[in-house]
Amino acid sequence: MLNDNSNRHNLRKRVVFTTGGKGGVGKTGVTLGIADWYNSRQVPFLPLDLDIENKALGSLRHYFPEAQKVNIHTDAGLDIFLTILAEGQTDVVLADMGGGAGHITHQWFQFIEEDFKQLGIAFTAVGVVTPDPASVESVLTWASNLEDHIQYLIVENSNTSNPDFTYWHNSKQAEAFRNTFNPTVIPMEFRLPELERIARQYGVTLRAIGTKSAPVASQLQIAHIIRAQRYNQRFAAQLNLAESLLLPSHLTQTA
Amino acid sequence: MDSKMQALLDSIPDSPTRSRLEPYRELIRALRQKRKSFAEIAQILHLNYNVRIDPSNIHRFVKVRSKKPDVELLAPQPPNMPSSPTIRNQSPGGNAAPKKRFHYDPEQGLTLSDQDLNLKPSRD
Repeated sequence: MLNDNSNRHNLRKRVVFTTGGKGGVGKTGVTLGIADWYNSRQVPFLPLDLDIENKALGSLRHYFPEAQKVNIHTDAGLDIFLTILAEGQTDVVLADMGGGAGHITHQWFQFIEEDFKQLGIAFTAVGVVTPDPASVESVLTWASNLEDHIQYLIVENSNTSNPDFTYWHNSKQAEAFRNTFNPTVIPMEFRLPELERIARQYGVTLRAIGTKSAPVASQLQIAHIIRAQRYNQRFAAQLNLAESLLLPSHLTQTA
Repeated sequence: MDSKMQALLDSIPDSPTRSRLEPYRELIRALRQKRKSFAEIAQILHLNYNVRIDPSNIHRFVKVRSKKPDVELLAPQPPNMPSSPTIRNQSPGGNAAPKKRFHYDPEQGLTLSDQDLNLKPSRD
């Protein structure tokens, strides 16, 4: 199993993907935060947009035009995904999973798992939970299907200024999940909706705004620039704690 | 179908539908049972039979046939999965399925205590 520490030194690639299921919980926002983290560390990564339903401004491809779009709802698309993983040159793949991705992906994953191990590919599922119990159910459904075949990073996304994570913190099922898999859990703070809207509208990440590398930054108030910097830095500090789940072992600084 | 249609149909030969992997079907099945990956099977076919084929095509070959009765072609022998005392095994038959460490039933939903739900105890 991939969670077996004895196997980790052989894992030369890592696929980090957001778990599908509940839409609108901030999966793409979290994915962008992780992308910013890779860029800040100058870690090359391959962005994959597996969210075929999200065709508007929220898709990963809107921010990374080079991101390949793959329909993993079909066997052919899943095979393309396999080929990219097996033959791709980058050691890190960052995939934004679609809201509808579920049963077929679970089946395929279990079917192909042995080959992933042979190829030295490890998987990290990034589950995004919000106060909405449906977001918790979505993460638990994935965990119920994939169990130890993958590792888990859970992001508590504060999508309001005063979030109530009761279902994630106190439900028996979520507690059982935490006790069984011991996932790394990190918070993502509430972000000014206006800033998120600007980033989405222009297809830029918060790091691009904070570092003023995005042209739109020149038109923004200094307060927005500073906020983008702070949001980006604080989330990056949290991701540092999950480094081993975001990088293959040979790229981790703490290995 | 009238006679003209039938004649037309008879004049058109069948298209070849068999995969070039078909002669190696039993070998692939046996290799999967030995838990060989698709990449390894591709290499074995290349080295021994000079068949060059992408692992993903072997995957597709196996998967297509797995939809038919010979399901054993589909998966390598499952590794022995360690079990832990948490949660229940969902296999109603209790036979071949490996024991699950964690099970979540979406039909059941999430369960909170009354305190968490802010329900006051009944005065009755």
